[in-house]
Amino acid sequence: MTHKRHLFSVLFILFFLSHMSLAQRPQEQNLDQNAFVKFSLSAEYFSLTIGWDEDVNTSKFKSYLFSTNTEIYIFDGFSIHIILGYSLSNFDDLIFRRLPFSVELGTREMGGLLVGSEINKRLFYLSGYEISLQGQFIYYYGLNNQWELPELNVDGTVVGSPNWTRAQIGPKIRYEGLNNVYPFISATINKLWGTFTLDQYIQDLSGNEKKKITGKSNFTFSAGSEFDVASNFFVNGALSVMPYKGGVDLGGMISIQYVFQAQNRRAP
Amino acid sequence: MKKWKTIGLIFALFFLFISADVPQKKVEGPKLHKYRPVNFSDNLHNSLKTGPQNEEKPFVSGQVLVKFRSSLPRYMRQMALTAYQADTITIIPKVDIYQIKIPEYTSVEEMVYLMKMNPFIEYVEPNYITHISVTPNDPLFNLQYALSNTGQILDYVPGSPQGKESADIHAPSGWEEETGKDSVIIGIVDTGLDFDHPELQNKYVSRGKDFVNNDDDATDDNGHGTMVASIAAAETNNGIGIAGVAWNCKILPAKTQAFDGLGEYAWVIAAIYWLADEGVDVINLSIGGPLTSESEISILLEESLKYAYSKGIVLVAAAGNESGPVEYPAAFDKYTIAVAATDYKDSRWIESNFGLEIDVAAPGVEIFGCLPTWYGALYGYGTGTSMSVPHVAGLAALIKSLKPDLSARDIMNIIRYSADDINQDLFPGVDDYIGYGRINIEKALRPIRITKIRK
Repeated sequence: MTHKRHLFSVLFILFFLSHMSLAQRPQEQNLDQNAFVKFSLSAEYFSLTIGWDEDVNTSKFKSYLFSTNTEIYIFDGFSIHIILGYSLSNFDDLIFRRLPFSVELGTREMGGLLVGSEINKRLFYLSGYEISLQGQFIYYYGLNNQWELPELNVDGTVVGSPNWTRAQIGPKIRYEGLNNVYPFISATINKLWGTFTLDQYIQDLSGNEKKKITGKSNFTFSAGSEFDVASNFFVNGALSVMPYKGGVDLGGMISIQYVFQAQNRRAP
Repeated sequence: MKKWKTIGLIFALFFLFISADVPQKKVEGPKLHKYRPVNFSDNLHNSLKTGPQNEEKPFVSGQVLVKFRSSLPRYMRQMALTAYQADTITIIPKVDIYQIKIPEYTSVEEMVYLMKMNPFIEYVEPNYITHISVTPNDPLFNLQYALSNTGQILDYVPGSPQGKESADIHAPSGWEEETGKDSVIIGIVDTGLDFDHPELQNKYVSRGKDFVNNDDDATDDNGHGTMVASIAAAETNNGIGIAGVAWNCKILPAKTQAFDGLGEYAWVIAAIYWLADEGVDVINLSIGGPLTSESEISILLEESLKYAYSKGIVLVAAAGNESGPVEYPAAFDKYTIAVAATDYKDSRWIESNFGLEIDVAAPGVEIFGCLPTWYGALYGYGTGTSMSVPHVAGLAALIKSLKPDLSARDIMNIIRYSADDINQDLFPGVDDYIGYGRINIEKALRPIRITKIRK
């Protein structure tokens, strides 16, 4: 229920942002000239402490995200991204005790499909700094995996199907005073939640357990830079820290962007 | 040119960063137990050894304990651990000692050496293994080879037989997961119970029912029932005597056998109905009826078992001690777990009955347990499949404690499938002598780590 509320909040903010931007559209000039599509390939890694069994237990969740990101500039200062990709997610050390035979995951990375969207809205400029608001929503749908259940005197199988969702929103400050290099920092509210369902089959014995997971950290602080390599080719990189009570998690992102309709992406 | 250098640097930094958590060469080692012993004591056994690596080294592989200097902020400590590619397992409160998991490709010794060079780390040391796991402090526990067999001498009397290491039901490591809930009740259909025995006086729900004398006091005038009950659920970790399989589970006796050990089907049938209605979770049937032809099977006894089974009660029964066919009620295959006996060397006991109905086996030779207080000695030895049954009943109670939603059928299957096939050299798979094998509490209770993808 809480997760749904978070999801709706994020979607509402994203909708509000897009509506606000579209409402400004008639006032903008040269819309067609400023609109363009950027295609990028991104790689991201993050490691997050997750709580489960109503936060009684914790373990480390790690994920590698490889995605294509199609960024559509609706008009200057506002863009929508469509994210599609593949993720390797590691849920190791999760323990399922409601199955007939308790199971601890040691399955390492599990492949899954990624789909998501992102919205960026420039808010204002201040002495060479661009202040914008960014929101991102990513859903991971894990592909079914089957594992052997060892140690028993009969064959057993465990089938797992995970999924997780991540929603982030927050301000980003980018410095534009340097030539072709644009360092930035951002602070976002960060929510990760999901479920991992395990089915167990051992001859005529079977069971099912669905476990909810939630990220312990609710904030992400990132620092990175964007680089103009060529007029239509850009590279972005960032490192992130995600503090939580009792520790801090880390992440990193790199993306290579190619602009199909070449335009100077900076506002005139 | 400068721009390209900058880009290259960012790339390098990023990949260095993510490589910190890229899984390295996997080395299959002994499974580490995340759940620490419930009870630490300074005597008795060495039973936390979980694999060959632990047998060689006196510390937990893959873990070290770290104490940072107090001046270092907590977030910096976490970043430092990330730099070592280590994960925090837990932080011991008050003293801020980090129990960490180190990368699989490095050894504990290497990590300790590296960390000792870090000026921000005050102390670092291996996570040494204490020589007690969930081993109870009952001083006679070392005579209970069935629970933990270290190859010990079975009695203090010279010339007593010697056990064989690991020829046991792996109780201490299973107890790390569950020692039983007091809401789980084991019904004992037997000769009654000695309510004054120090190991049992706090363990019974009520004084039960005496179907022999038709009253509400199932006092034991034989001794068999007291011993059986103590094996299943004697008061444990109380600093005296022995340990039961299900430490905290309760007992409800139903006396169906007279002082001479003999009883009637009518009493047994009535006792099973009574126990089922009293809400027990497991019924221990260390008794056996006459071997009859198929046409003479007691339908009434079977109906009583069916009634209890339908209420979710796990029924555990003795195969018998004549080296012949399996006795009733154990032979009612659909509703009971039929238990054969093994010995202190993990061999089948030669007098244990056999047949298709056998489900599992448990130690039943020279089993150390409680004798009634009027007997003259509080503890003694018993042999037979009657002694094997309470080991299995205790396990059933532990499973019920850990997973109360499971059906009787599921619990019976867990007991079967987790058993060790100790005679697989002669009879691989399920056989007529020990069924699926000798029960293993650790496998039945502890989480099994899954790693291998099914092709």
